[in-house]
Amino acid sequence: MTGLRKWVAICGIAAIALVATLMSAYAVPRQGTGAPPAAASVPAKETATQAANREAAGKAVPGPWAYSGASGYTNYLGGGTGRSPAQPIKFPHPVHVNGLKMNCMFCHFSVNKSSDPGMPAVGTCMGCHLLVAGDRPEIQKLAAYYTKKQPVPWVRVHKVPEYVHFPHMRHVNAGVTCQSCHGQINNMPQVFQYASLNMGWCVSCHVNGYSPAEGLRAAGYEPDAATLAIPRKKATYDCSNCHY
Amino acid sequence: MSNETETTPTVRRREFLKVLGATSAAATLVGCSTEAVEKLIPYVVSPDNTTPGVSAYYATTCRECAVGCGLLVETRDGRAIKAEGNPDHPVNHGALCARGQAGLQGLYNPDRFRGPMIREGGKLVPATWEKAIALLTQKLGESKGGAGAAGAVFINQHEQGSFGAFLDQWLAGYGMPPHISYDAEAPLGAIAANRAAYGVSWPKLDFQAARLVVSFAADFLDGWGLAVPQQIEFAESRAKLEGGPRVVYVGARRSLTGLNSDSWIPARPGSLKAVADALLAAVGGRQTGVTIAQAAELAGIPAASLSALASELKAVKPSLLIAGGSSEHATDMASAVAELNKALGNVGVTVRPAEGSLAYEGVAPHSAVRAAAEQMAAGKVAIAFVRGANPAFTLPGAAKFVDAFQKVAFKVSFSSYPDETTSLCDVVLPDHHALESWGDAESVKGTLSLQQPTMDPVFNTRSTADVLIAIAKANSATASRYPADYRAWIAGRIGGNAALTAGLPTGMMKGAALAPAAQKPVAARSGAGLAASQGEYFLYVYHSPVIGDGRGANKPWLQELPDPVTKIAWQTVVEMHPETALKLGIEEGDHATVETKQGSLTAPVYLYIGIRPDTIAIATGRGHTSYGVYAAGCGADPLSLLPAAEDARSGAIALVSTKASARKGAGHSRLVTTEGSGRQHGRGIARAITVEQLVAGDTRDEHEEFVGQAKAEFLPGLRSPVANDAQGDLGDPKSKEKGQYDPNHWSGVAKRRWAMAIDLARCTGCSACVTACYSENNIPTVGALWQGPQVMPDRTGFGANITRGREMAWLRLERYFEIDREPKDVAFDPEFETRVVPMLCQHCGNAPCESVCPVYATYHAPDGLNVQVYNRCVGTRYCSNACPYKVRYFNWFGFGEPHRAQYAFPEPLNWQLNPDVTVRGKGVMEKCTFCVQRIREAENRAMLEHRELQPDEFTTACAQACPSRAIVFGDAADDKWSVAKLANDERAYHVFEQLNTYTAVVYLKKVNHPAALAPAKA
Repeated sequence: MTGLRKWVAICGIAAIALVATLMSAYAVPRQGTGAPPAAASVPAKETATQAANREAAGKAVPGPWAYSGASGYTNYLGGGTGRSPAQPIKFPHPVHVNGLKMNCMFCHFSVNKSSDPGMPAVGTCMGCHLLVAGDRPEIQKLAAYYTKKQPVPWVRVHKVPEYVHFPHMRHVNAGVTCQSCHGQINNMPQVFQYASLNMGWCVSCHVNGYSPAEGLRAAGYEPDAATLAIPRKKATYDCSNCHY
Repeated sequence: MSNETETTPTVRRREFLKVLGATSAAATLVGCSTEAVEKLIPYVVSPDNTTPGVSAYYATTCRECAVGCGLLVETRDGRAIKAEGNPDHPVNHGALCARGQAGLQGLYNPDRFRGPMIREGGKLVPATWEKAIALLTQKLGESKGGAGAAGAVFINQHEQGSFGAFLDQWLAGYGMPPHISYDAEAPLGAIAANRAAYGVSWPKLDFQAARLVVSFAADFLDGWGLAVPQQIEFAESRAKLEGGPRVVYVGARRSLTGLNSDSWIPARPGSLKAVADALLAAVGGRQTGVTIAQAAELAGIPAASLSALASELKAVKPSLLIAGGSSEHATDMASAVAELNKALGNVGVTVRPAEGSLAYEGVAPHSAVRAAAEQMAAGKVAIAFVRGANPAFTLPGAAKFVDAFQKVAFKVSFSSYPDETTSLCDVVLPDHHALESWGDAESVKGTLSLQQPTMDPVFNTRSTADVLIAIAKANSATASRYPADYRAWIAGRIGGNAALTAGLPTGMMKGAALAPAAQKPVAARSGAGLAASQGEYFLYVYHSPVIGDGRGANKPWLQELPDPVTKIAWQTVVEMHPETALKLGIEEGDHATVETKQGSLTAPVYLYIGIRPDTIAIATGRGHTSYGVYAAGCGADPLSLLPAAEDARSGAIALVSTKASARKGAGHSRLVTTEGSGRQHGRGIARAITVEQLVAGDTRDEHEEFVGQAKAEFLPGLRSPVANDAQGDLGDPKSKEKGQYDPNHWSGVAKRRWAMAIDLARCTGCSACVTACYSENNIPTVGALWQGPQVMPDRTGFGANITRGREMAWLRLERYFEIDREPKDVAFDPEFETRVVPMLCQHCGNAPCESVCPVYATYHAPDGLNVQVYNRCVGTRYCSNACPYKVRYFNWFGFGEPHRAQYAFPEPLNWQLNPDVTVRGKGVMEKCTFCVQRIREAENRAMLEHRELQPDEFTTACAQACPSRAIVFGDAADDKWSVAKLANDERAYHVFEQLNTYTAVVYLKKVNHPAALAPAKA
């Protein structure tokens, strides 16, 4: 390969990469229809839910908005990082997690024993909402689903491709906090995709290791000295761990 | 392996791909404007005791044949996804045959009725259950008590259990005669002889106690009799090696049982009775007046082979003689063999009536159905019911069932499938599939095997028992006799709800099924007689070991499973000996026309060296005119050639009852075969030694000159010094950084070496493992019409992809004849050996496929797996070219993509797909993964329970299903696993060891038992 040709090739590739980066930067916000809302102004009369959501919105940190590398799958689904589709019911995580201090596993009941985190059954919601807040419009929507014996058609936010097998329980039992991957769900009035979920993102943690202290910080806690002393926990990164 | 050196200025393949990646990412983003929305659907109310994403297993009973094996059905999120044998069940001990596995495709069959149907204007149209039941109730009311009721006919698929008695009780309530329990495959001749000789329908046949097994056309490895239990027993007996039995097969065609035999005595059809009589006289039993010479003359075999058998029978004890076959004298022949067993002292030793099976208790003679058809033809039947059975297809055309059935004023079907009989009916009340139903079975005396629903019904079907109860309850006279439903009826019979609930976790309890009334004998009708019929060739019709009497024909797994003997799928072939074909001027694939007095059939010819030159054979099961998209129009039906001849004593349809003429027909078809060559060409793929060698401690065979360096040695992790390129920089022995490939890596992954041992002394070639693999690994079938002719205009018919070698079976059964020339050039000689070898990805330590992949889509994992990463694969197919074992399969079309024309899983077949395994798309290479999803699942489970993996804790799908227990999987680097011991067995060898591929699959040589006295050739 002559020197001239080499430089032509290098410039060409650089140009393509630049175009790709620019396009991804424009494409993502366009598709993230309900992107993390900015702190709204305080309305005159505000319910407890609205207050919790408003406060939480201020804390929510959008994930690293970056070109998602070779894995175009999340983009194919329409969004990737920052994607935040509107849901059939405006379920507020902040009210339940921050306000009521409910454990994530109260609703996502199988996250520590199965690959599948477990979506709460409509009956689980109604366990409380038969009695609580039955007058609110969103709860009435929920009750309508329950009376009709229909599931709530939640729109999926986090999704890895079919050729990836992600075992939730291995991560949760290793002590990885939910917020490490999902962002501060407890501060998201409407859930958005925090991390890119592409392979580079997965592998960087598997190779460099997970820091329990950072995980705790992500969850909104300040690690104590003992946690700070725990070394990073590595994981295997063989392809067939996840791809089969 | 890469030749690149530092001085060659090339772009390394990974860098090249990085460039390519940026380009295609740009293209992807440009094309990405539509937003695919996916929903997360929760339960409305969460069911108890289930965890999403974790399988639940239900113990139930298999209903794919009469045997009644115990099942564990794996369900995930409410759907049955895999059928496995119940390890604790006394019938099948955890094993399951291909047909049992394929029960799931009956459950999710795309042609099942979605709900009840009523005939309106000559067509079956959908109706409501209320309307359909009201119609039936009205007709029942009209006929009640009158002549119409007395003449009613109810044909039910024979199944062991209380349902028969329940049904008879219900029929009696309407003044109707008891039902006919019909099973076209039931070996009625043997059953009748067993009853006469031993007083039971099916004694225990103890292969393990026997030193000599002689089969008189009893195809006990081909689904005849008790398929799975017999195979388990047979394999266990052969696994005793020097203590195992020698097997002799007597019959006109070498079936799979025949191929597994050490000797074949090719007796002419219709001569077996004489052979048995002659042997009886020769061993000192009753003097039948038939001499060896006379019998040999009649059978068309050298007298020496018979006298050798006679002296062997006298010398070797205990022996086990089994009679099968389907002729007009089947019972007489089986009785003669039973007498032989008695004379040789085998009764109570190898034939044990006291421990018999009840599987065939209550089965009706086939003549009963034929007689019912005669009643129908005479206009004496006003109302007829059919459930499960399909007599319009399974009776010989000469019985004229279709014409007769059409004369019935009101015809009711409880079948869930649009089969030939149901298509003629006036109202269809589709039954639940067996995996959706309640029931019971008592195959082993004293053990009640329970049948419970494994999932909610797929369609708007109803259990027939529940429909019958609902009808009876609507009538005040009969209402009080029945509880709310059939479940309650069963619970009430066995001691209440508590007893039923206690029994369901294991699927078994002590108890007995309600015995139905004995089926009434019906005089058999004899044909013209085999000898008297016209034609130069004996027509040998046999039940297909895979699709049986035709009930499996609409299940693509079974259609695509190559016949264990002929290796042909999706096709009916005329089997003839090469000598015969030469005489008729026929070459393989040429169409032959076979003609009898009853009809003619034209089908491509398959040249088979295991058949007498004066006999031609055709398997049943194909040639459906309806029944569904996979069955209708596929193949031809040999029953149309048969006269309505029956075994005089048992009333069984005589499948071998006529001669036929054969001639070359017009046309030629490619055979839908998965076989390249019928012989090994000296490659030493399937190896064998004789029992004498084994005893002498000499396990060398004729291929021993090819000695590689591998032998049976397994080192964990980076075991092969030459596999550098496959493992990238980590494989460089000079590199200090071996990462996970370092056996001392903190993760310990490289300490393991997943491996498999396959014992060819056990393997019979039944192919249950193949279907288990399809079921576990979402392997697409490729033979349907929309997958072939539509994309290849120059191809026609079913299986067109297979004629181009595009089948996807990750695991295939290779069958080799040990002959010195191509089968088409072989003169008739019964002395040939056959070997079978399951061939799958060998997970080579030094894999040729890995080094050629430009994108590292295939590579070697630290725990010894040869991994195929689908999302990396770009479809160069270099790996497939490089593979010496030809075990890599390419997705030429979008078999796994729902929007493609060639989609292999039309709704609801896709419900069965294993959620733990990726469904592969177009352009991707795939192959055996050693069930990596099961490895990961076991590892995850061990982690959750804070423990290490236990030796032999789990196994692969093929090993789990194998009725011969020939396959053992595990960690060969850890001596506590069984496979580690087997890898060091004296019979162990690696296929193509000389290539230094360091395979992870170890084969154990087959052990042959040649005759002590070699029979003189004619």
